[in-house]
Amino acid sequence: MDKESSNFSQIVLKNVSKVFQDFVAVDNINLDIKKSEFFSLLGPSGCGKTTTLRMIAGLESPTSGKIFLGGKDVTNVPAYKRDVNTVFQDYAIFPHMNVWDNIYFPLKMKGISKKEAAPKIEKVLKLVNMLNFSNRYSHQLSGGQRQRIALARALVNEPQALLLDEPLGALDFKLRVAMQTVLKDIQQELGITFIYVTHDQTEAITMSDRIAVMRQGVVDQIGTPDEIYNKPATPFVASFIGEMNFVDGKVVEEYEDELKVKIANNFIICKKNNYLIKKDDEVLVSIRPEKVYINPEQKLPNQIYAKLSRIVFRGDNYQITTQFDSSELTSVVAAKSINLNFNLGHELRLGWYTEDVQVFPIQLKKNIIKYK
Amino acid sequence: MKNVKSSTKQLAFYSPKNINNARSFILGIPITVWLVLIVLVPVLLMFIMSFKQKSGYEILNVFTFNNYLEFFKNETYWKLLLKSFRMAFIVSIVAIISGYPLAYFISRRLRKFRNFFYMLIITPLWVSYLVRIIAWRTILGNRGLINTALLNLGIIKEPLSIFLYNQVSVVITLTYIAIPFVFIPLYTSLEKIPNNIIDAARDLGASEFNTFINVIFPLSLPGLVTGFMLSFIIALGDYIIPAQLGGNTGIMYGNVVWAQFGGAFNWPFGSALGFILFFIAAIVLIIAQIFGSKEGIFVE
Ligand SMILES: Nc1ncnc2c1ncn2[C@@H]1O[C@H](COP(=O)(O)OP(=O)(O)OP(=O)(O)O)[C@@H](O)[C@H]1O
Ligand SMILES: [Mg+2]
Repeated sequence: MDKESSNFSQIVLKNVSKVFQDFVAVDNINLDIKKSEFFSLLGPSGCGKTTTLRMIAGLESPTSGKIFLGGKDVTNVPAYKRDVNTVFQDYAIFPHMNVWDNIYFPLKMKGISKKEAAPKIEKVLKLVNMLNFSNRYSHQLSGGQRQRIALARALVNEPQALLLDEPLGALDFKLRVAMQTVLKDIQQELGITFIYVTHDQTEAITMSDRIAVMRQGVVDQIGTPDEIYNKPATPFVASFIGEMNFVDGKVVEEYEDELKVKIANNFIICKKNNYLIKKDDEVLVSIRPEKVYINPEQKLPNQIYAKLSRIVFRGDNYQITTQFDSSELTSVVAAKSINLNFNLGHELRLGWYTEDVQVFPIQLKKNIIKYK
Repeated sequence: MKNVKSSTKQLAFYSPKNINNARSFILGIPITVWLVLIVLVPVLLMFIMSFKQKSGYEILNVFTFNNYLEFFKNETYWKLLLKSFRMAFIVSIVAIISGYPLAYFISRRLRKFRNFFYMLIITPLWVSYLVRIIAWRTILGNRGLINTALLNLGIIKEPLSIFLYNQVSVVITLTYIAIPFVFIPLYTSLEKIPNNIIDAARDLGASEFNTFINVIFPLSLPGLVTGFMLSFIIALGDYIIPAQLGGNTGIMYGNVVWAQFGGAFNWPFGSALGFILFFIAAIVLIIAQIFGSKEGIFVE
């Protein structure tokens, strides 16, 4: 990827909303997706990912706002004239055509003859490793094979962007992981912009250049996987991605760029962020379990004492739950890196670095996602 | 590896698939019995009857091909059969041409009141066959709706008799009767097409028109063939409409068959005529069936 082309805005959504009857499915979102970017829309079920994707494809028109494709306003351009193609969640392979004809379809619509199309079709079939399947019909293919055909069909016209709506959702775990690699390789090989819808955070984190995390029709955060994971902008993002400890607290002191927060009977230091948080405000503090160190050798900026209440072995690591006053903290440590000769109730020293803690206004606590 | 394979084979014997096979076999028995009793037995009886001989008011238990020879010798019979085929074909085509847009619009374009319109189109089926036929007489007749309208509009001075008692009136009425039978399978096959298939077509560059030609129409073919066959059978065998509205020129093969069982009291000959119709119709339908279900559509 050269620097210049990667700064070109391939797809831009400006204040786009979609209202169904009186239900707001997408609420004033702004996206700026760069050329050749692997961009994911991540969020729980019903948050408006598919609707957003369909608006980009032109299969749904926005109630308000504008959509730009390659710099051109396509808000009122019908789907069939937009230079983007979609891989649908259930693949939508035409059942009355064989694989070859399915892939020929978009070329046929462009008026390309079968003869001219043949090498292009062969190329994409090769790309998805399905060369020997040209004569099969949809019902003669497995889920993973259908997925590849849908991909080949969407790619054959070399669109400006490929839209993928949970393309791996229906596959089993091993196949899903294998297909993730296939998709990522193809994307890098062709340099086509991918917009990838998923509710699987691991998938989004491992595959994307950038991620937009959506919640009930709004975008909570746009950022690289690293930013999303390590600097979540809201408690929702923090809870949706990975594991997270949340503890209630209260600001007792405000410094130039740090806050002193009291949690239970302990005092900790947090970095200030974009939220307006002042002295005496109730806050929500979050920290990843793997950033909580147990009995660290050197003294860390933040330390509290807590009682061991549960140990769960999880294969390559232990999940260790500790209790202090009425709060709970879990931490995760690599299985071989710790000596676990403790009894339950044993007092442990927990420590972490200041930059690993996020602090949010307590009002946002309601957006925390809990799967229970 | 080998062991694993053979053991899965053994397991397969008890697998749900086999149980399902046995189950569907048992479930299939009543249908088979029903088919044999309702369909095959009468046809067989008719077939046997067609080789007997009428003598006065008696049916002799002999074996003869005379009835069939009579059909081929007397050109009025096979010409009438050809004419009936042609009329049934026209009826089916017209019924499909008028039923298709209706089915398409109601199944794929309408968001609300879909069931209402569906019911509206099939309600004629609840009305007695005869009543509907008589209704058409009042529409097409000398003092019927069309003539009255044309007279009142001053387009004609005298009522036109071209509407009734000929082939046209028979075709019109048969078409009217056939439309719901064309509509139902068409509607069903059109409605069954998943929305995302249509979305995919649009997404891949197909305009409304191209989507219809390349995706919707081919996927509705099974419904179209079924509708055609139903309509064809209904039109081909009908004798009430030609009798009521056909006059001299609108008479159909069914009327002749019917006459053999009624006035002429020649059951063996009637059976032969009936069996010929049955045989040719069966061939046509088998051809249509093969053509229509060439590709298994929506197997999943
Ligand atoms: N045609 C429609 N009419 C009314 N409401 C709709 C329509 N399409 C979507 N919605 C609603 O809009 C909201 C967002 O739907 P959308 O399909 O975009 O969610 P999603 O994020 O893709 O969810 P999932 O992960 O389950 O696919 C949902 O609450 C849904 O019920
Ligand atoms: Mg969705």
